[in-house]
Amino acid sequence: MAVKIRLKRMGQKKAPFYRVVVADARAPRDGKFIEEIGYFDPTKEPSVFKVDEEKAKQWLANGAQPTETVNKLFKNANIVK
Amino acid sequence: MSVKIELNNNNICNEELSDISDILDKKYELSLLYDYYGELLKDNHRRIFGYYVLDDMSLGEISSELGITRQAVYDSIKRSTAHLKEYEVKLSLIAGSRQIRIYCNDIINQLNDCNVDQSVICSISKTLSKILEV
Repeated sequence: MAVKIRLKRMGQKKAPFYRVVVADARAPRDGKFIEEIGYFDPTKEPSVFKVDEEKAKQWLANGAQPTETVNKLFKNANIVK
Repeated sequence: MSVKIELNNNNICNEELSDISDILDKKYELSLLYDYYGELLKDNHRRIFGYYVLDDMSLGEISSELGITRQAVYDSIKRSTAHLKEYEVKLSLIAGSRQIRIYCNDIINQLNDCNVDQSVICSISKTLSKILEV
């Protein structure tokens, strides 16, 4: 089963909040996800990006594919090189 | 936009990361545009834009989900972005609500500086939050 790590938009209308979730690549729209490994809150000043580094590394080692956005976030957080 | 990154090993860095800021800024701005003006897009463009900003799907994923070419997805997102930005230029709803948020914070700060009862401040800030939700 292909698994992806993506940002999932949550929060109220006009107040976005994102979860970093691990989810099945085939069902991006149904809202189901396997695990939440962090979040990104752009409404705070400065914006907060928090991620569980160990879980992220474990999922990446197991072959989970991060989306382009998540991959860049991980790069900047030194989770991937 | 400055971004604060927290990792679970308490290794907190608070840096100006231009690359990360660009990506997040872009997604954040696009999702705000979608919230405010998304209803004005045509149905199929709105669906594609929703996949892109709400579900963080790649162009390739969207194209296979909808059975259209990647180029069509790219064009649609580009066109929708241009439309939404044009609405913001003309209507300034996002800029306006940002300004209101700043003024609301000012009001709270000024009240905190005066010798006002905390319960009054609390009730005023609740009302201000309601204004921001409108």
